[in-house]
Amino acid sequence: MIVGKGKPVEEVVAMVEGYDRILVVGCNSCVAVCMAGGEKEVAVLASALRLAFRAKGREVQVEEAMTERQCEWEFVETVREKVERAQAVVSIACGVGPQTMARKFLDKPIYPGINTSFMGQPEEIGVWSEQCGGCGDCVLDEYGAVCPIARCAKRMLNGPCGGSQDGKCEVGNDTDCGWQLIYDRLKALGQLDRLERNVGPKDWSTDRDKGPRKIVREDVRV
Amino acid sequence: MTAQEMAKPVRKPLAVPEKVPATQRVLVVGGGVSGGTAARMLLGFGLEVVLVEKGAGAQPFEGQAGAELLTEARLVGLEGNFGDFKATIEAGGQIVWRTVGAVVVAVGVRTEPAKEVPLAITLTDFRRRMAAGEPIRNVCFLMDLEQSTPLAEFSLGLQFAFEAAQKKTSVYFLCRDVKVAEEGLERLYRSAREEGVLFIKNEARPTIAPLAEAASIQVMDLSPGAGSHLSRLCLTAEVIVVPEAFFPSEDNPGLAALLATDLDTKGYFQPANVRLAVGRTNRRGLFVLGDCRGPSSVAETIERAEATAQEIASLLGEGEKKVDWPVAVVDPEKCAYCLTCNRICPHKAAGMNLEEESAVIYASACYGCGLCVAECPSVAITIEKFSDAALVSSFASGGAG
Amino acid sequence: MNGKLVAFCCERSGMVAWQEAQANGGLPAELEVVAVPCAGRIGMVHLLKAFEGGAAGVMVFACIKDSCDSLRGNLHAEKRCESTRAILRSVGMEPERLEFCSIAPPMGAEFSEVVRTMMEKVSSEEREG
Repeated sequence: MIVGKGKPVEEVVAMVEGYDRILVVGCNSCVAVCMAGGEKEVAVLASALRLAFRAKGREVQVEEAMTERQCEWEFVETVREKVERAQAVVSIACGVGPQTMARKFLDKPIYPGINTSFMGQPEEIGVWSEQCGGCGDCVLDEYGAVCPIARCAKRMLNGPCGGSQDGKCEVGNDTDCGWQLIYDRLKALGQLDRLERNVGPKDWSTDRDKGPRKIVREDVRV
Repeated sequence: MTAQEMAKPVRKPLAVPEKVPATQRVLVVGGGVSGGTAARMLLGFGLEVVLVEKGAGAQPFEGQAGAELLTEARLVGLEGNFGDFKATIEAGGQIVWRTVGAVVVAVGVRTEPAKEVPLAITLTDFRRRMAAGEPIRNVCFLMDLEQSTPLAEFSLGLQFAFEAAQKKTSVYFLCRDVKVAEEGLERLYRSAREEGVLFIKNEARPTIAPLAEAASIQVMDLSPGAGSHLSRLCLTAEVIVVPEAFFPSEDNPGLAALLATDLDTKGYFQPANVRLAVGRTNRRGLFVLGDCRGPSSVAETIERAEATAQEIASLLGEGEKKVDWPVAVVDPEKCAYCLTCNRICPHKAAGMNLEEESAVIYASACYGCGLCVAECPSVAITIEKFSDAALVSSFASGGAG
Repeated sequence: MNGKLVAFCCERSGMVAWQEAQANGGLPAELEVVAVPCAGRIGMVHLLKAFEGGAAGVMVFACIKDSCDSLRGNLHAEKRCESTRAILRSVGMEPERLEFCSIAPPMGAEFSEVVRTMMEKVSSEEREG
């Protein structure tokens, strides 16, 4: 799922400093599950904003709202009334949410309340790790379903590099060496021979390299 | 649907069950002193008991109404919750299932004889020889050899020393210091001395050499009153007893995982929490008893077994249990099925309802603590008495109440 | 701010200590007590709402380490208090207005002491303006 984390409250306060009526809107999808943009987080941020402005001597009206999935036109429409009442909106959905809101409510300032980071997996409560690089040309078949794009700091297709030590990556942060994981997995599958093949350079045109991407499915468009 | 209709969530009525089942049968895992005692007491309370013992037999148990003994058996699965556990047992190569209301784990400990002490036998072996009635002329107990002997083994040694002396055996008891930090031990020590047990303060490894039918033990006498100069004592003993080392059973981690309960840092079923210090666990209806919680004296074990049996009998009541404790309830409409409650619940009361595609809280297992309520990312869980509105202090909510 | 104090009390420890403190007398009239089944039930939003409602000081009374009936509820509560204090700092409020207190049931005197200390702390801050 998409994983993000709340921005420091001071940063959000600075964004909406000059307004008297603010709406904080969250999303019930990925960001709720990763505890960054759900109903509770909306309540906490709204409360923090009210306290921040009160400490500056201003009574600011901060409303709260939730969208089921903030990337959908119809769900964004459900909060129209509250958006139109506000002078500015702080969205704590993933980056797609505020942008959808901005395309719907053309004259309304929309501000991001979280930092969206990656497509990742919840390893345990409170821990999410990046797993998919969104490269557009999945090569998991070659690597025992461990992604060299997302899990190797250098995105190498023919790793490992000399910086792999005791299963950890030289970048530190206790980051696992993706290539150790690939090796362990291929060994368990009995497919170590895959590592003996030299994989040619990736066609990165399916990744961000070719600019913002779009998928069009003509088969469902009539 | 209009945008307004989409904005209004469809709510299913939330309800806590009035009663939950309380099967009048208890599973006891382990047929030793603690398990056997608990089983007999539970039968005395009118409950049925299924005793699962991995060995070939257990203390006298069979033949009573409501008692089922499964030997060469082990627990391989436990589903369900208090009042309605479903145990999967492998017995003599067959798989059987039993529905029980509560589970008692009394799987004991693993012992290893102390290493590299020539001619020594363990406490267990000595107990066996005494029970068999073998006459022993003289015995030497060696405590605190490599490290301080734990209190449980020390008190056992003291007990055996006293009993041997009562049978007119000459008893030497070597130790670094006499540990009496448990009720009755000081009295036992004095009785042992009165009975003629010779306590010798010893801090170094004695020299042990075999004799014809005994062993010679040479040790420095450090007892106060030994005289102004140190003297070497030469003792002869037919039997040398060195306490065995106690270890948690190697089965414990697997069993703990199966039971969804915790071990302490040493591997015993006794996590450091005062609420769990009497054999309760994180789960309602699951109890741990005896040495598997940590080596304990026989007296303590029996007392605990009686108390646990009593608690289970009162917990299980008459066959059904009225739910008079707070219970958390999941609203399936709001639930994102994210599994946070499953992972955070310390009492294993949160599960998955695959048909509803929602999390579910089991009333029989729920303690009503509210950890899931606080953490649920979708705010989908409620406890009636402790709703969010109830927690927002009255003046914050506008002065109501 | 209205000079009020809010104490969130775990039913197994804080509430019992509060009852003992009440019986001994001396608790300020400004104190409002909110009962919870376990301190782990308390969320950041409840703490912030208490401040929003005008509370000058907020206390959370939880069971002492290794005595929580739900094993970890007191640890969750402590973490949430830390996070809430960070927010107080971010919005220009004194983080000391929120206190996390480990308490055992028979500690009525300590309960009174914590409340008294908080009362003094927030009153002096009021005076300093």
